[in-house]
Amino acid sequence: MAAGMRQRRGGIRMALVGIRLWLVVLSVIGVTGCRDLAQAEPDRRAALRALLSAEEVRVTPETLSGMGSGVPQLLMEVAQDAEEDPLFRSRALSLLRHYPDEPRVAAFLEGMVNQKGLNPVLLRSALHSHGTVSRGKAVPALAPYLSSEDPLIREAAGRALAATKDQGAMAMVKQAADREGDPSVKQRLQRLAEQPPRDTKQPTLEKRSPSPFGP
Amino acid sequence: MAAMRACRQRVHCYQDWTVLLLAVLGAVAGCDGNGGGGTPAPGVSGGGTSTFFGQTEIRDLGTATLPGNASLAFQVPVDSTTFMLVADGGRAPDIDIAPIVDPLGATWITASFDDLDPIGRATLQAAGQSVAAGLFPHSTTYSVPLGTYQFSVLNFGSATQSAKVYALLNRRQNFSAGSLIVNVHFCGLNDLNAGNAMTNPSFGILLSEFSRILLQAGIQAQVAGTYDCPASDQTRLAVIDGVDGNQNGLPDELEDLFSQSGVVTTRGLSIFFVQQIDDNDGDASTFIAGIAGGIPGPGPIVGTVQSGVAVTIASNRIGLLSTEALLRRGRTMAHEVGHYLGLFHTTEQCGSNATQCEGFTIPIAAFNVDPIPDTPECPTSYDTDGDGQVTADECLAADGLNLMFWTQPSPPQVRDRLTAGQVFVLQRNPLVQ
Repeated sequence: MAAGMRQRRGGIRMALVGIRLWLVVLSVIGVTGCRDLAQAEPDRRAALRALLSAEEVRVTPETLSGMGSGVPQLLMEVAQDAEEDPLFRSRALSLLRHYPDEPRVAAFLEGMVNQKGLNPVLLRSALHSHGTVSRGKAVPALAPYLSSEDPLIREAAGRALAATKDQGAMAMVKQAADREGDPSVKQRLQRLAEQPPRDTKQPTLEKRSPSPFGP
Repeated sequence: MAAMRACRQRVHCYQDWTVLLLAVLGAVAGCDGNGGGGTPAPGVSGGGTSTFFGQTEIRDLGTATLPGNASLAFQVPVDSTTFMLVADGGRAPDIDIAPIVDPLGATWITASFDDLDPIGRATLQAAGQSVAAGLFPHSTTYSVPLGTYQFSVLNFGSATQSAKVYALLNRRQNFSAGSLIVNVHFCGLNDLNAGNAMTNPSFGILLSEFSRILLQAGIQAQVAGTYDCPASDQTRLAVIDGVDGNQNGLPDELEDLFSQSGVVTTRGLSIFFVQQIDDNDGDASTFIAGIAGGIPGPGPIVGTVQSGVAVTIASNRIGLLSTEALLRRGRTMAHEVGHYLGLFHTTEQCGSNATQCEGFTIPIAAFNVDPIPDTPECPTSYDTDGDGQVTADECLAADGLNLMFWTQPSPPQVRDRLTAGQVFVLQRNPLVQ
């Protein structure tokens, strides 16, 4: 009986040792994995920062996908960091339009659009990305900006509404163009209202270098 | 007599007497008895007058009527050390200067647009551009023989247009130090304008950083004038729309902006500050923090659609920028001025040895680097995270801190270095006097 108990205890001890060993193995794997992630994160952040810092750079969806997952989160972090250079923040906001299938991006952009006192440059980028990402759902948040005191915000709102490709939004842009007082904004709004939303790529006429102009 | 003097040739750098003799013969053959001006040619009208910018003679070679192939010739006289060629097609796209043959019969720029030219990477046949410009020499690998140069101006397309053609003959002899006259223009910035710019502390930080970097090349920046965009354009040009109706590679509103360079009272390099340059590019995002009207731009010729450099403040108020952001704008300004004066990126985004870069249609790795031999290069082996781009941080051991690297490094690193070869080019641009 006692021998049986000892055997059972020995078995339990062995099992515990085995579990401990497995835990050690798993923790080693886990730590290694975490180390990989920790290493990947700064690299991705640095790669993103390089794009945001360039004087002229063309960022395609392929460029972003090449940087792996987690990029939208990093972009949102940059975009809402008040200490960050507004150049980086506006670019981050602009790049978020490449993630139309991410609900958290749509929610984030809506939050930025509704943020009071946002730098107009950031607001313009947020408006356009929100229109591109959320399409028709963005119209209620975008439409009030057609009446902004800042003519450049009115123009950006028109562009954002055109990006929604929503019929009702296009009608709003046309109405805004009709009542617009600033000649240059009026012209832009008219162009947006009269033409289909611009989804065309820049002409790629390049013969020798990506741009003859100092990138 | 003046013509005779102009035609009495010598050769810079070419030490071989045979070469010298050939140069003299070529020059004599090219003399046209009008002081070494451009040779009249079919398809070219007018010209023959000269104006001066410092020690540079801006010689009007006439107006080329296109389409067609307007062949021209001009003399680099005995007292000239460097020169530029400029063909200004107004707003018409696709103006090229090619081929170019030197007085010794050597082809510098070939007629073909899809090869690497004998003198190295150049933009004389770049797609779209309305103004073709070339600086010679644009690297330390060749020199400028005196004598008659033959070249053609053409448009890549078939539209009827014309192009004004200039030869800029630089008679500067001392290239150790010079000055760059700058005109600064402001569009749509609420707290920065022509009246307060030179006393604005934020703009002072930006300008000081720009000046510091240029001074490393022995170039003293001098602000000759400050200008505001016309009141009617303050809103329109505050944010540059990305629409490129004439397909010359520049947004139409950027052309309007650069054309404002024609209002200056003292000729120089016009630098424009705006809130933002639009990044809407269909499926992609094209970010422009700064842009130059060419590599090189059309030198001291003002009023063209490529006569200038633009820098985005990325805010409607410069006073909202941190010191670090202002310094970054100053470095961007210096980087773009580097382009305008003739410097390419030392390494493009995809790495110096890559052949398939975004936006490149011709797979030649030499287009990913500059033609200057002493600038370090960053090959794809530096792409440690394997994302297909070489960043400044990855290239610190190469050219990541060079002013002309394609992007800026993470702080506290500063991208402000220049090599002797780059200084050689900067000093030889006619804008530096």
